[in-house]
Amino acid sequence: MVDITISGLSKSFGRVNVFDGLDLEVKDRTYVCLLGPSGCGKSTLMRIISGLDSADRGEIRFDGKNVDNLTCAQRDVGMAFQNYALYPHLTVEGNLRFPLQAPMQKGRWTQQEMRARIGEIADLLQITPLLHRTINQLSGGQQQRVSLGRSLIRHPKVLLLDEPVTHLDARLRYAMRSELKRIHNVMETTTIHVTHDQQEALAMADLLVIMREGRIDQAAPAMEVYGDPATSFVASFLGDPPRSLLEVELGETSGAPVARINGVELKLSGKLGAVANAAPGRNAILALPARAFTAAQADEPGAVLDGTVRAHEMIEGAQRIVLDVSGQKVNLHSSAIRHVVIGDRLRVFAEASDGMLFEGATGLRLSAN
Amino acid sequence: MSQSRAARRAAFILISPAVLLLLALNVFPIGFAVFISLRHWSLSIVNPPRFAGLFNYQELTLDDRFINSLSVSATFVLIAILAELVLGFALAFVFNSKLKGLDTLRKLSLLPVMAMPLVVGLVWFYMLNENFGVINWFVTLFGAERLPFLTDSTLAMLSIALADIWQWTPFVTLVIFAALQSLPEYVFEAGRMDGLTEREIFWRITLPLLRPAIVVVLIIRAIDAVRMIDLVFMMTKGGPGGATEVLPWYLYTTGFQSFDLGYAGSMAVVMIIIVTLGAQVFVRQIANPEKGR
Repeated sequence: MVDITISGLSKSFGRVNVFDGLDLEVKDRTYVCLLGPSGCGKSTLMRIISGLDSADRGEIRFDGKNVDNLTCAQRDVGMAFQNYALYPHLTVEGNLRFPLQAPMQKGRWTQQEMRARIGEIADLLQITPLLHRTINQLSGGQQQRVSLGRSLIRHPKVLLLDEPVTHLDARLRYAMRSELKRIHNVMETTTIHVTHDQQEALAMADLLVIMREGRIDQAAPAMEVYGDPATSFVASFLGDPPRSLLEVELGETSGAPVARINGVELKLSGKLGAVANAAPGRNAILALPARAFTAAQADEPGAVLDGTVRAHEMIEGAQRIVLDVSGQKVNLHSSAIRHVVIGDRLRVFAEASDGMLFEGATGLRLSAN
Repeated sequence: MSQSRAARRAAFILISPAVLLLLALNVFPIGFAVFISLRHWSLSIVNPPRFAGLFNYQELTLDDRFINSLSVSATFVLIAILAELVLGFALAFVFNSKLKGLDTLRKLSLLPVMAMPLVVGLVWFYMLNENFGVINWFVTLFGAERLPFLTDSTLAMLSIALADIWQWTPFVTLVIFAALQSLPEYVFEAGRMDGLTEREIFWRITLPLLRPAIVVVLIIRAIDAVRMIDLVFMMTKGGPGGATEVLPWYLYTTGFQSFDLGYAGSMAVVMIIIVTLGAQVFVRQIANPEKGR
């Protein structure tokens, strides 16, 4: 129930700069997913929002009020830790009751109200039968629910989830996704969910924030990030299999725009051609989805890329191949299965119409205007 | 069938060395102590030992010196353990803070534990000597009167406790420090998240989590303190006037200076019972820690 504004946030641990001048705006009741590879600073950002860590520079405001000097409890945030962080010496009920008995809450709750609140949360998370167990009698999934319950029990204004479903098995992880969204809606909190699982993030986020090396590459609704990536990193990070990034040189052949890869020309038609014509430099990055590539027969003419098979696997009846094209990684995905061995030479056709172009030096998206 | 019998034989053979050692070193001596305690068995008279029933035990209940030794032992154990726990705890927390140089200090702090108790007793005996001890030299530096550390009944008890505390506090520190180091950082973060102050975190998280370590160190130290004889032997010989005559010392003098083995045996049996029962209470505390509130 709060807008979060982050501006100019900087943090370093010793000589390691985690991030420098980070800005982010989160509207009330948004479900935000922070997505990025390990070490991109997403957990650190969340710990700073929670108040467990403090930033070196910059500020965080909740509903316009600066919260830099407030403790976690004063900020009214609830956090579910990646490793659950339950109190091992208490029962499930004791863990849920704990936040209600903190000094700040003194006198706010009668015994009866506490019981009611615990019952309500236990119902919501379906852990009522577990209330009198000790923590070490619970499975990972149950511990995760208790941890979530403890973060929710005070009805915090902001809910922070640090890889909340990472340790669950695939089925439970899938079930918890809709569960989390449901809880988010019932509780009417502003939720920030840190994850490195792109499927999870794409499925859950109202606002998807892609982080890399301490920078926010893009913050937008999930489908917009997926369909309209702002940088080459975002383009290559999302998608399954991810899009391939090819370093190309833009040029023209008899008036038509082309992209040259290792001396081979790839025609850029339609919108992509217009983008290429408007590009400021000649070096660019072409991002292509896996289905843009098809493998060629041995000496079929017209194939543009010539690479070495680095990996291959079968997934749900389709074949995926990772190809090394003079140092550039190309992902293929096709339902036409062919026999390959690691180290094989493979020639592929490329179809550029679904591609996107990014500036070579900065990785920023190129557009026609 | 035959296979399971062979397996059982192998099991017996494998555990037999341990069982034999246990029988020879633990069970037999205890049994023999009970056997002695039921007899009139003195080395200073020519009559052979003869059966006495519970006579020796009956004597114990009437023996003021025995009752006194029990209360002296209890006093010593209480003073020493309490001080060691409080000091050891405080030191463990100091060592746990990330100050520079503490690492070396921590290693050095273990030295007293490695010293031989007899030597510790001897050194403290000289240091606390009323006339030429170094501690009284300090006392006179401040213009005070020399203190009769080992000849005043209250001071003598405190002196022995002091030597014991000096030697064993580092052990308590070590155990608590190790336990502190193994506490997961995230639990404290959860505590801060839940709005606890540092003091509340200590009372409601740290202390309950340290409980097993505290109970263990308490058992070890209590059993050790009940058995303590070295310091008394070196520093006071039970004096003045029985003020430091702990149970083991009375037992020792009865058995090996008055040569009344039967009577000493009954004391030994009583002591074993006290220590065992006391330890049971603590062990049960570890086995069934109270359920969460």
